[in-house]
Amino acid sequence: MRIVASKKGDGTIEKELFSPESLKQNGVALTNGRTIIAIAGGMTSGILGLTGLKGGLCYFMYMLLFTAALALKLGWKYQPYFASWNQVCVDGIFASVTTYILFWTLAYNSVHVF
Amino acid sequence: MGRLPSQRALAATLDRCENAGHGGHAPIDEVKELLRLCRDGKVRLPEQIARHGLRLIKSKEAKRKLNDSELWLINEQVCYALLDTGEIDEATMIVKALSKRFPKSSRVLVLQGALCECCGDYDKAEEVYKKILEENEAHQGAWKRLCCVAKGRGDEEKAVKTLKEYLDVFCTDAEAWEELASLYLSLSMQKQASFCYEECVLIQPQNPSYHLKYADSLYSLSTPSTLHLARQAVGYYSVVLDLTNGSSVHAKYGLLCCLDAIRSQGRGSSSRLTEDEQKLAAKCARELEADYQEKCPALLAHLRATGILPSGT
Amino acid sequence: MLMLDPNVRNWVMIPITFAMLLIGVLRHLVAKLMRGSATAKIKSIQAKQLIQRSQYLRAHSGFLSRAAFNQRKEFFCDKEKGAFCQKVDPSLNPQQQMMSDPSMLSDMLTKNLTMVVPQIVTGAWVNFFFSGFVVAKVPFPLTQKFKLMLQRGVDLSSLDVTYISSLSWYFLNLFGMQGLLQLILGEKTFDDTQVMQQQMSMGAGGLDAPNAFKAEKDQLEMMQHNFRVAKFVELAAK
Repeated sequence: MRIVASKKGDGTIEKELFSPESLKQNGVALTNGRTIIAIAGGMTSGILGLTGLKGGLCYFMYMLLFTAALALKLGWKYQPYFASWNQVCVDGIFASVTTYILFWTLAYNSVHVF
Repeated sequence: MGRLPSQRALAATLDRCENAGHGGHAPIDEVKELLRLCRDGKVRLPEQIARHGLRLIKSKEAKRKLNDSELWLINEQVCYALLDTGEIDEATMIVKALSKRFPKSSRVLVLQGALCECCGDYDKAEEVYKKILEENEAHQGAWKRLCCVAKGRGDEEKAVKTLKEYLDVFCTDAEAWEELASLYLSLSMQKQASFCYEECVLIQPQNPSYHLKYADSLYSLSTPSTLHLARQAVGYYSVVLDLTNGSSVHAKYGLLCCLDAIRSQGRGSSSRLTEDEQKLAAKCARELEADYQEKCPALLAHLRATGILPSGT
Repeated sequence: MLMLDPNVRNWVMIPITFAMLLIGVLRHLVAKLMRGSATAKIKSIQAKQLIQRSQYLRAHSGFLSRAAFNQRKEFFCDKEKGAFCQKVDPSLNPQQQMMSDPSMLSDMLTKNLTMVVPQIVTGAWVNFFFSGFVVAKVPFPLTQKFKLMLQRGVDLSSLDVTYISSLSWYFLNLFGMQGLLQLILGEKTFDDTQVMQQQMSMGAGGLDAPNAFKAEKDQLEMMQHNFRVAKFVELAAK
């Protein structure tokens, strides 16, 4: 439980109570969202028959789409749900790569190779 | 997604719950939000929580609208509020329900102990807490409540001893250090209290209330022959002014008292205020007077009569 | 492009994935049942908190008078009575703990077993039943160096590297399942990849008390105290 006091321009004190449980919950929701996009994106890439570099680049495109949709839902402000823009955009992008690759391979093989 | 609570949100929600209009009951969602804000912000509003929360738990819609974990969290929260307001029967009912749902939980045991404390049965409460500690010697809640039992019995020295044992292990618990300091103050052990406040300042230097309390204790400890303590207190009051952006009235009073003490009780060179200190005294006096003029001009005369304002303002 | 038998897909590729998913879920549930209550030892908590307190002292010493700082420095670093100079209970060292306490050893062993054995057993099962043929094609290009690793059991030197054997499909599943398992099971599941990394560095998890104490003590002794509170007076007077 942290009390963060920040001074605003007009001399008033703005004290925010940070709730670490809420922050953690939001972080978990974010990670879950990225995982789901990785799975869906992987299956899409596989079904479409993307290979090599194209598939890799598509992964980043899916992540970008997700981040854009998230930013839209947040109303382009990271407060009061997350601690910083970094966490929203950058954090966890590489965590779901292996999941993406798995489902990409799975879908690709199911549809194209066999 | 959860939100970061703020004091304004809490005040607004509380307002909406209290003024539900025409003797009607506050809507379930508002009460839920109020309880959640109090939990996250660790705010204690026993009367309101007890009233709204109890109605929420007893209503039939609660079973539908609250998911399992939230329902029991609210039960626990409302139970503590009921213990605060002294409604023992209702509290006992909730404790029974919690024990049935979570038969082996040490958290529920702590609640049972607190219920015994509320009824005045300190022996039974102590028994409960010691049992928890037998199974888990690192249960912080049980340790702290043991100290409360001693305090409730009026045995402040035993409370100090228990708290010291606790702090021997958990030495970064700022709240515990603060509690120990207040215990020492009630036993008139100023020096030890000062030490405890130092620990609080070390752990959370961004919290102005710890600096305030430390400065107060330094000022109380200072005597005409140890005015350097008053000078240190001046420093800490200035820290508070910085942390609160110049709005702490307590700090301004403290500053004026210390500087006045140095000026009037000091001997020789130690009684001379530096230029900064003089400027500070003048500034605080000015701001205090302006504040009183604005908010309660009736007391302005009392302020002037205290004699701590530097002459010439 | 090779044409592979659809039966391979139906009876090898998908069953392996399915089996690993189920085993992952089963393992998690079993671990949860066996976990019991974790009661922390007071001595190790005390050690951790002392270190934390010393860190606070070093970080925020500017808010303390010189006398107060020296008093605490002595509390920690005094040769005879200092908290950091006490003979640290050897049981705090996690390796020592394992040697001395047989019940703890068996506890750790069973925990490790439930995690590692399913992996080994599944790997052996996959290797035994599904070796000697190509199972899938990875959609991305790889260098020839991976050929040996990915095509264990298939001895065709002219075969494209992107065609993998069943064991490599197993490993691909192993790494990729973490995300899916986390989604399904809803909490931090046991991360296989982390176990492999942890086995490289021993002593992870437990606090290495003697060394940590010594490090903190050295840092405290070297520290210069700077009373910053005086500057605040100047700041406030402006």
